[in-house]
Amino acid sequence: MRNVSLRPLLPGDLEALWGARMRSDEPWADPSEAARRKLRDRIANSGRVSHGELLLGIVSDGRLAGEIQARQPEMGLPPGVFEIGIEIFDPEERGSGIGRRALGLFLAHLFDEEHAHRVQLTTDVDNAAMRRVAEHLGFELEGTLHGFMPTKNGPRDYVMYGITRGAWEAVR
Amino acid sequence: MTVTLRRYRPEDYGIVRRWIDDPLITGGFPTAAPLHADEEVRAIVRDDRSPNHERFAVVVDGRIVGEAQVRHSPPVFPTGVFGLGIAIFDPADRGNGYGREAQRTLTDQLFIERAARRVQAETDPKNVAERRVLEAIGFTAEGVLRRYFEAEGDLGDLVMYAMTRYEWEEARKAWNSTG
Repeated sequence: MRNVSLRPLLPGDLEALWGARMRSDEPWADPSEAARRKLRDRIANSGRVSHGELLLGIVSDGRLAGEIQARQPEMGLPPGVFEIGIEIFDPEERGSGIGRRALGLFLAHLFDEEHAHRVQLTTDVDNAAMRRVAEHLGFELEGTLHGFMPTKNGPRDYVMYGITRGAWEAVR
Repeated sequence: MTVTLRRYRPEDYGIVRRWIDDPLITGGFPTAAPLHADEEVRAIVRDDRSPNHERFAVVVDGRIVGEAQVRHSPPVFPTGVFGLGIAIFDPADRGNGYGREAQRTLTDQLFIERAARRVQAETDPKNVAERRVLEAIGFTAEGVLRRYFEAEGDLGDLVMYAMTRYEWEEARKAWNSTG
């Protein structure tokens, strides 16, 4: 079993995060200099809630393997509600359990330290791996958001998963 | 009856100050903020734009009866996804169809002028009047987000309604064919 932990990102992590974005074929992979500057600013603020986001690095066996964020944009979500995004950089490492352990650690942090009362995540209806991880951790399927995410093949349906503080305390 | 939407103006200060923190309209509103200072209300009626949140006065026969809101904070709202909110201020003005007309107008504007792909509206599952309005416009309930916002000292659920561009186009065809 790999040792997985979370830590604030450091300036030297920029190339790993930038490279993962440039390899991604998602429409939000923006190669501009402005996007790179923005990523550098996000890394500088990593480890604390800043500009509606808490961003951390995922470390597996001493190596930066991915990133995880909790979003709470002003006027986007009410106080106490966070939305999680997670990315494992190397496609070969997806499904290896790193994401599941990172998500478990992150949930504990949000409920224990950031006063979350609800944590939600959305994922593509066909992302079976992500859905399994969410269900394993106690998230419940709440609905399908039709035409939610733009992709190069047109809009995709996303599923909404949520976990409440009560459910989290019960599964823990 | 003509219901129109417009940006706020400085002379709207009085009515916005009167209602913005009134429990009659903030109760159940998902992003109920801390009480607004006078300076914040002045910024709202000066129409100082926040990039992710817009407010419009709902005007009936020259009189402001409520407020409509549009939210699109990325990345919680991906490109082309907008959130809609409505509040009719005075209970005496409710039940006249003002909210329905305002939300229909704003939905049309988002699809026509803002290249919306999806417009969503979240409401208290117990708010039967608003649910009926959303369904009449063509929104579909997609699910219940549990324990989402503070309501009456507890945490309330939210029902997610949405309309996709395709659904909106179909609904418009139906409205046009029935006149």
